Amino acid sequence: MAVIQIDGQPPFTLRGIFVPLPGGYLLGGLLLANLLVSAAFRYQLSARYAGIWITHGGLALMLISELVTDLTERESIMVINEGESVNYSKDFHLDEFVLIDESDPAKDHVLSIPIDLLEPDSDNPTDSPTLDLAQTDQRFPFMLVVRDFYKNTDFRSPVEGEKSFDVRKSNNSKVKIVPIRQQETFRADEMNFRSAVVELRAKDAPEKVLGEWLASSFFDIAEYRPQRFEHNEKSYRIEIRRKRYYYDFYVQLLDFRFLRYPGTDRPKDFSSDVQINAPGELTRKTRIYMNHPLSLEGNTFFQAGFDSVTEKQTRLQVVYNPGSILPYLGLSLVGLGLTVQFLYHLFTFASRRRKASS
Amino acid sequence: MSSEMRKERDDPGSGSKGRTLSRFIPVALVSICALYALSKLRPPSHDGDFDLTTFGQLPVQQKGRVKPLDTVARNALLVMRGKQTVPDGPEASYFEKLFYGKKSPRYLTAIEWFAELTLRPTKADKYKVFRIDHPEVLGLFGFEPGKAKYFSFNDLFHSTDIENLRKKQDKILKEVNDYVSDNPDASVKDKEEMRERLIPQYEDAQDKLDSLMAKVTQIERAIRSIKLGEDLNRNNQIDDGEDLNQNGKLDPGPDSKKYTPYQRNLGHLYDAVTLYDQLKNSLFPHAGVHLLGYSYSKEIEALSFHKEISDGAIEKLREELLASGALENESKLMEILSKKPKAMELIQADQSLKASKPFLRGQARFAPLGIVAPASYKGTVSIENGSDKLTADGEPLGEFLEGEDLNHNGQLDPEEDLNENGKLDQSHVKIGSYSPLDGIWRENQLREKLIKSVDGGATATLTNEHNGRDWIWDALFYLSFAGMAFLLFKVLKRKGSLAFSTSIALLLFATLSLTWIVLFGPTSATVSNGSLHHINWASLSGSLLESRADSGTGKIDPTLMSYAELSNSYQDGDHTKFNAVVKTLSEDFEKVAPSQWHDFKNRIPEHMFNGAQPFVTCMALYLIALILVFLSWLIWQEPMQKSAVGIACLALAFHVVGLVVRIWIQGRPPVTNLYSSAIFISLGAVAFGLIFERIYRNGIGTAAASIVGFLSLLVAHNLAMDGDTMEVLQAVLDTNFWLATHVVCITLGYVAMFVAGILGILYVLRGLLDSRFDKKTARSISSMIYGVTCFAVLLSFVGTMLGGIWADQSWGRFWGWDPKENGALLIVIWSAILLHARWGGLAKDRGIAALAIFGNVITAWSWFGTNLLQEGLHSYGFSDAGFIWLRGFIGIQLFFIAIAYVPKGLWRSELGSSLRRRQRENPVKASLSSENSSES
Repeated sequence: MAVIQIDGQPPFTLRGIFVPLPGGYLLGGLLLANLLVSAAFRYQLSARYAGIWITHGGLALMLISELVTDLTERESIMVINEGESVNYSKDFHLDEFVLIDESDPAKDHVLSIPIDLLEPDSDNPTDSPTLDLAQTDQRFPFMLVVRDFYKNTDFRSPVEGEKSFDVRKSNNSKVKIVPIRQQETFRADEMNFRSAVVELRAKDAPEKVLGEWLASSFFDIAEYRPQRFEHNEKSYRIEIRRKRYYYDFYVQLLDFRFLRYPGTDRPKDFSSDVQINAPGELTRKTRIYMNHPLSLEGNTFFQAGFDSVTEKQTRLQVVYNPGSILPYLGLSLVGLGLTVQFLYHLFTFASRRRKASS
Repeated sequence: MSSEMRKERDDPGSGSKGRTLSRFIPVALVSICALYALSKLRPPSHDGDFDLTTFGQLPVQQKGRVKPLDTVARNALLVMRGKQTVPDGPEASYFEKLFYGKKSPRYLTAIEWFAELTLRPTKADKYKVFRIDHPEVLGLFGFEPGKAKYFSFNDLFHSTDIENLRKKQDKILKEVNDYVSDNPDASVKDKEEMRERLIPQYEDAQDKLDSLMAKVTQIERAIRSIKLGEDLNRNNQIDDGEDLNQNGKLDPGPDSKKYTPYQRNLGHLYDAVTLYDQLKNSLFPHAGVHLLGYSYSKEIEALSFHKEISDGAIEKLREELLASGALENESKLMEILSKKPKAMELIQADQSLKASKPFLRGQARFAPLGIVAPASYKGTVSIENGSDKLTADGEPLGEFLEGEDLNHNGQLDPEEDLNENGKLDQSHVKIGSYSPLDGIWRENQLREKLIKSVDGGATATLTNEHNGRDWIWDALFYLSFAGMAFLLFKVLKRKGSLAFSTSIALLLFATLSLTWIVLFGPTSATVSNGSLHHINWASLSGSLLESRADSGTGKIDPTLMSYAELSNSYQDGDHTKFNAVVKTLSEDFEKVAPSQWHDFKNRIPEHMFNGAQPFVTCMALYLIALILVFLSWLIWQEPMQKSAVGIACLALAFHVVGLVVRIWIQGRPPVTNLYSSAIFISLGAVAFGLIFERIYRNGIGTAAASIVGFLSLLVAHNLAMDGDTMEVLQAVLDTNFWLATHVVCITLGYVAMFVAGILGILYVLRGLLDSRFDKKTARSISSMIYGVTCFAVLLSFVGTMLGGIWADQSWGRFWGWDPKENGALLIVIWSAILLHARWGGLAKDRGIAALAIFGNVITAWSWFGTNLLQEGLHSYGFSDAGFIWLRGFIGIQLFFIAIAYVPKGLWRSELGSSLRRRQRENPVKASLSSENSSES
């Protein structure tokens, strides 16, 4: 849709009057159409128009580059504690539902399902989506039935006789909690905690319900542990968490430093000394600091934040932007076009003066 | 009507006498203004015999920057009072002075007040330095709204009253003690009688004290409750970990808009009072009531024994007592102690100093001023360009390798690369040559690295011994500056006089060269900042902590003792001693600091700069020029116009000098914050306007110049209320390269937009109201708008794209649709719309003027509006007032656009009159043509 309208969010109004706010696709599209139409009808194919052609071509390229960026760019955050090595970054907004097979001592096997698949159809809210997990990965011989889905959740202790879930806190104490449905929020400073109550059945005996579990992205940041279960002597973990992007390399944080201006808490510089461990390559150290990001395999890692209490944890924003060269091309074209136009005017002016004087 | 004829009519006394007069008036007016401006350069004199000038030049470190005390004093007064002076007594309004013969009180300069505050606070507590406007805040303190605006610390917190009551109680207690010790044999009855007499007095004082304290506590609680809800950290600064978003910009946060004006005003008052209280005890600890409910009496007591404590008298005493075995036997202990003079007090002082440790530690965290300079590192690390060598104490360190950084971290690491003597460990450093092509930038990067590398704690001082800097690069840059100046000269010469063109071209050359020298020249600021910039100075409490016998050096720093002596001699009125101590103190600082320490060297220029206040002078001159231009359109065209141009040129010269001095002091490109952007916009607009004046000579250029110049300086003047205008920069802005390119380009774009907008307003107003506004002048305005908008689109586009490249280099993305980025883009789009409307014939002169006026709205939004969106927490009050002003400004612009579309028939100028004439001749044809022309 061309007008800015986020699903579920009330339309923008100013003192009760609905104001249609045009969005980027509409505006950018119109600008591009305008450029193309004027080029088609107004510009002539002559030397006089060379500069104009190039300049406006450059502008069109810049508009396209913004579209490419919008469609392909991915921003995520990598949180590393000092000494730790990390090979993934987390999305800022998107969640994923994961089932993790913990039985392999060497590494966990993860089955990731986009959160959208768990969401019941908006036309038919009572519908329970059913997924055959084994189709995706043979390691997980389950059928997954979503019994309940929460776009945003709060939790409280159960009143007597209420259906509740047993969750362990990080100190291993057991608590009973009940999920409460909350209104989805769209504020920049608030988070939505998506939760799902899922039922698993064994693939080979679909009538038998293995159990019902609660997973929530709230557990990802709060001091709760995800729910676990055992099946055929294998142990599994169920989680909803921020979508993770994995890389071929590990980034290890050697040291985070926060320099302040003397006598103040005003930052002068933040820097992270990191070591890159990539398979088949030499281990190398580098420093990421203000205005000096690290570029690695098409990703840019820049210093975005840190743990302000311990100052021993860095937060690197990872930007993956395959179209990053396009604005430079567009920019160069605009520069070239303006120069050509200027020189053309200069020369015609000079020749006219020469004619006039002779 | 030709302009010659009009001049005759304007000039009633035409003829030789009139001509002499019209020649004499501009000369006289400009001379008077020049004298006025020069008189402002005189350093301010101080009443009395105390050498407050030298006192004001003493260096301290505040908010990460070393500056003279004078700057601290002025900024503090601006934050508290909004002015740089304090009246000695009740102020009198003009009305009262005129009709009731009231006399103005004496006004203390900032440093005079600061001396009172820090050296003799009992008197300073009575100066009315806090400005309170909000009626509810006034009500909180029990003041009547509308009666007074300024209050003293005593008015707010009854510090003197509380002190007096405490003294009274002490006196009563002393009386009792004296009576008991003097009359050991007094009867029970006598004692009873005395108790009956004194106890009510004591309790009465206690009651009063309690009620005052309760009131003060209540107010404190009210103020604190507001502050506690905030997301600001201990130093009242923004916490970057939390409040900055991923672009390094301020995150508005959920509650920033929720503060009521009352809360904001109270918050501002809290900041002012805290600053006052902290500054009061920043040079010397004073007994008395403080906001924190603590008096420094213990420290004062301890300080008076500093000599004994430093000599280890305590340890000696302890050993002696141990040896004599007195510690086990109380009576024996008392006997020994009573024989030793001062021994008891000494022990008490030592103990109270120990007890105060947590307090001092807390104070050291909050201390506003570092007053003790760090001891200097003796060795030097230098870059020798000629040989491409880095040396430490004259020993070569190796060669730079192209594209490779100093060590694996990309930087010198103080912990790893400096050996135990604090010198560079050569084995860790790889150095190679760099090509002349990236010579200058590379060198600056290198210097930054060196500086960054040593400020982690090691105390190396960097000097830059320039033997054989690449002169060819300097030469190339100067040549290109000269080329630019020559081009400008050629352009101006076509229309203007030789003298004018030469001087403007020289001015351009001088400005560019000076900026070049200051920013990247041989005495580069980045290097010579050295350690003073990067190492903590000890604050009073910090130094006291260090001086403690049990954990620190056991010696009180001489700087502290000098300040103590200053305070004593100031209180005693002993100016000879005061002046001598100030002089020695100043010289001692010089000894500690090598001359190349940039901040340090600049404290004296900064002191002079503070006193001269060049931008205030400029503001006055621009206003005078503006009035003269307006007069020239009403009466006496030529002399008034000439005077206006002369005065505007004079102001421009002052402005340039002021800006260059600022750049020099700060060691940064001209625009680093909102304040400096306003100063720069003013300067740029005046330069544009005067160039137009030279080309068209019709007063329009000068009018535009002086309007934008004056208004923009007025904005700057109000922005200065927030405190230090040369503050250190946020981490992400700590790069001279992008500040010098991206920021300057964008700001010049603003300048061009504002000039175009003002020209548009002049077109509309004169066209509508001035019957002498002819078509030729109208066309000239239109050409000016066109020309300056071409500049605007170019500068804004280049600036915005440079910003995109900066963002891509820093954050991996070219464009983030951040409000400030969008603001810049709006300017590019709007000026492009204006140009295309003109090229495509969509808008004629009037339409162009209206479009240009709306450019003002766009530019003001981009300059301030986007900041207001993001600020909120950053500065109380400003966002409120800022929004009101911005709204007002936008409203006025819309009004001008509206009146631009008043039907041409009603225009009083030639633009409308020709239409009226035609209307008289042929009503039908005229109405058709009026429709055509109003389409534009």
